Amino acid sequence: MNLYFEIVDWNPLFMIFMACFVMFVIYILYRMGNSTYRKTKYKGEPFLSGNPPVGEWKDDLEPINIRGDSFYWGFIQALKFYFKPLIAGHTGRLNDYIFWFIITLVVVMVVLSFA
Amino acid sequence: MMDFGTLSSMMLKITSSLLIIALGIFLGLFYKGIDRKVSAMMQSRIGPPIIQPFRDVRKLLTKESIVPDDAIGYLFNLAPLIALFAPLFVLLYIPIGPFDPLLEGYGDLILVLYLLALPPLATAVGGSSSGSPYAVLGAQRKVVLMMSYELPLAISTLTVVWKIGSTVNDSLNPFSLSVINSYPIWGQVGLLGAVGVALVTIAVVAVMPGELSKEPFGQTEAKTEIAGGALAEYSGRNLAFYYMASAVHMIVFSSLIISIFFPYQLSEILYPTINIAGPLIPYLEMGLWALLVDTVFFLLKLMVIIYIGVSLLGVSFARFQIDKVTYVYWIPISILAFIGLILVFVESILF
Repeated sequence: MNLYFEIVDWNPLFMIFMACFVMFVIYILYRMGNSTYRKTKYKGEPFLSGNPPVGEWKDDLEPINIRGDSFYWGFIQALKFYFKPLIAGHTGRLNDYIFWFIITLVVVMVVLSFA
Repeated sequence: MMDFGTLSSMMLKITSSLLIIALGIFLGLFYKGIDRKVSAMMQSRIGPPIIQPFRDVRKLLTKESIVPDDAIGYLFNLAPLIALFAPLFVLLYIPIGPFDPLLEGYGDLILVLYLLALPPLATAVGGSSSGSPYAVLGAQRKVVLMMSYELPLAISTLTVVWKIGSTVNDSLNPFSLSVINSYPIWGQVGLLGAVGVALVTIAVVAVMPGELSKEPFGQTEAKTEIAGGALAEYSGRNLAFYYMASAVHMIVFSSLIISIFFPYQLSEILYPTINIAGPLIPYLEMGLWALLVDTVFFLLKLMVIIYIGVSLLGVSFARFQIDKVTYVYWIPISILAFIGLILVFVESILF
């Protein structure tokens, strides 16, 4: 049942069994908590402090949600000195992409010729 | 067909894992209480009693768990379970004081680092699936935070593993936490390497508040800004599970720092002639008090690490903006860790 590597051997089945066991214990704990939920009119609305009442506003939630392209905003903002030239390189023109492909190919071949 | 020895060893592991799960949750909540009390005292407040986190969990477990109308129900309810599962499972892979990891040989440091990425991902998934803009913003910040601290954490741990791997016997797995525990990194390096390891240690301690989403890296929840962020819509037992998950995560990460950088035992100094680098059995020869001394020493080390990495940093610094988080982790702290790696490497080449 064990998997043997160069310096390690381990039993993945027992690991998975233990993971399931821990999950089972956690589930038992979870079941000990209160599972009741009495639904009332505004209970299930998202919390939006300072905004107009959600009930009248609900259909218009889309503009205040985060778009997929903004998901890594802080990361890209912090490293924009690196990302800015990369984003600028993505012009959408096929000629530019072929240009970069050829440049990369030349660099790889030069490196390989020295290796 | 398994023989009786294997079966009884497995039964022992299963029973012990129950004990470790209970201990992990208890210690996590206890140290959380101490952290809250100490942080309050540093800010000239009285603060809650140390048992307050236990009361919080008990109370939350009795409250009803609201699932927002727009939420993806099964993801919303599953995420807190995963968030608690990962640190508790990692606890089985980490040496607790004088005891070897329970699941030694069933995974190593690489698995631990991967499993430690699960709680932030679970929080991000839970936040994203709750259908609240605050929660989605918190989830977005959580992902950015995780992408930020992973680099210095990876450089730091690999520095230690590489050094131990290059000095110990080839047949030993340097990624195994019991090997790292048995060959403390400070004993493997000279003066230059020790400076490098010190830099790497500082980097890992700086990663700690980010890993645990504590101030100055508490942008994910940021109650004054985004109303609890990823957890904005959580309540009842779901919130209790996130609460316990953050407490256990604190214990797990601190124990990991101790086992990588400060694995020394007090009984080694008190009884230097007896070799104790092994599992439980040698302890029985030494007497129960040595076990007790080392366990108490481990709990003290845990308290010091939590004090420095969570309480002191949290009280001393204001919360960073989210783009500054990436900058802080990727530029100064990663460079610090990288210099540490280079110093350790240069020492190995030169001497």
